[in-house]
Amino acid sequence: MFKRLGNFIILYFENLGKLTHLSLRFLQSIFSSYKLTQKVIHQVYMLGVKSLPITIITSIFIGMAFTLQIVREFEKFGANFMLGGIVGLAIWRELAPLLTGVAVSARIGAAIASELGTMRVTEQVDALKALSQDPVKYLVAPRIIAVMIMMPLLVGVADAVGFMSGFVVGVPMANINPNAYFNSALTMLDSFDIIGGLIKALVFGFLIGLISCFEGLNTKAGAKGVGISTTRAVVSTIISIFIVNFFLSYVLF
Amino acid sequence: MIELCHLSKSFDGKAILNDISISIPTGKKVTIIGPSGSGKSTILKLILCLIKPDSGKVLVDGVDMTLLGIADLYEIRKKIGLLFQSAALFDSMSVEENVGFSLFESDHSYSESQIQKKINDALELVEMTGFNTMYPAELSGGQQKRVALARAIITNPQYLLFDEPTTGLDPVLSTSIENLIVRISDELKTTAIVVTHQISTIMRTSDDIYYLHDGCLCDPETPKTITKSANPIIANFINGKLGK
Repeated sequence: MFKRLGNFIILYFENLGKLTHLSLRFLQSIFSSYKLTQKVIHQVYMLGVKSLPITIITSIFIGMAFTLQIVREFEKFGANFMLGGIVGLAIWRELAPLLTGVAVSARIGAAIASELGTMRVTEQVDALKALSQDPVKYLVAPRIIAVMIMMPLLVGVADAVGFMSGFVVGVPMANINPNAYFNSALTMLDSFDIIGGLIKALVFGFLIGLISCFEGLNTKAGAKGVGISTTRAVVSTIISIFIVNFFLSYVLF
Repeated sequence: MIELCHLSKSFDGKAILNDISISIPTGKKVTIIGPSGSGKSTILKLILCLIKPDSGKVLVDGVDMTLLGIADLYEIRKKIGLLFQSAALFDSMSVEENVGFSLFESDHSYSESQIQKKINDALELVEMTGFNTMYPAELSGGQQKRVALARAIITNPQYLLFDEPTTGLDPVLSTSIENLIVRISDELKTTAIVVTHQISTIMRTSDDIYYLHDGCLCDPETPKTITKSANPIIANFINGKLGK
């Protein structure tokens, strides 16, 4: 048992070291990648733009479900006039960044890990190296940057869609003036509530890109290995997002 | 010149290469033979430093690859072309994107039309003219290897490494690839290192032949001497007999 525990701890720190090394190599490669902008634009389209539907659907239903619960409770205390502020606070600070992060992890994280994993097991990553191309510059940097660009944009969309979904469900249910919904948001919230959420999105984007690339590039043992690394990428990314979200909430708000 | 000096490599505690040394002079065609799993492909990966040795040196033109930083390593690798056993073509790219990859992705002075001409020349050399817009999944195994060969030679590397170039191909295709290896090595005046266990490939493509046995390299043979080798292990391998 002690041997297993020891091996687990060694493996954990070994992976942590490799992940840190990859993140440092990524930072270094930003300044020396060839045709980086072109590759980033391609990845933004492949990874980011195609994530728009899942982001919109997620935020519509989260906004509506959250408002549904809030309206019922607020009616008991006669606090319906605060609805817009509370919905905005919850969605902009927490729900939109967190749930967009989870949805994007599932879609983009899995896509990155399986693509790089397949390239790894079919020797395409070795072929890149043999052709004098650094996989960190060619594969990792464009993907991490693309996810970091797209996450704040997607969260911006989720902010707007989630808030408006709350409006659509909340105003008739709470029987309040539509202007009161927006006024309460303007009174209770300030611009940093949105900016803070976007900062979270940027950090989550970095985590999604980094962890997914790391798992993909460390894939072993054929098709089964690709499946394992894809699952690990999604699970590790989601757990990391929840943990980091707590600390960011503490620091930012 | 490529020199491997006292090279050792093990995987999961199992020794694959044990203190091997070999010098491959410029312009020579050297073949490394041995049974499957004996570590032949590992030698090629060590030469390119795709994996690091446990001990020993890999000298390419006198530069120890094992001591180089990442930037210098990628610079030295430009001198070497590798044909992978699986071809390892980029499956999301067309044939011409694969072949021209090194040129598209490096800071050079070629214009688009010059790159296109180089791609077409390389494809012509491997007899794959007209396949430019096809994707790897649409090609046969032999065609994929030809495209991979075109990709490896487009930058005119000084050294060409071939990992099982004819494995899994029918005899006609094997002969065609073997002829291609000899022709390209002669025309481009490259040093060729071929790793294989195909007897026909050994006979057609080699100046010197090294047999890898239990992680060690036996004394070199030539296509003329190997069939009458005094070493019983090599003789058994060449004659397809089960031996110790």
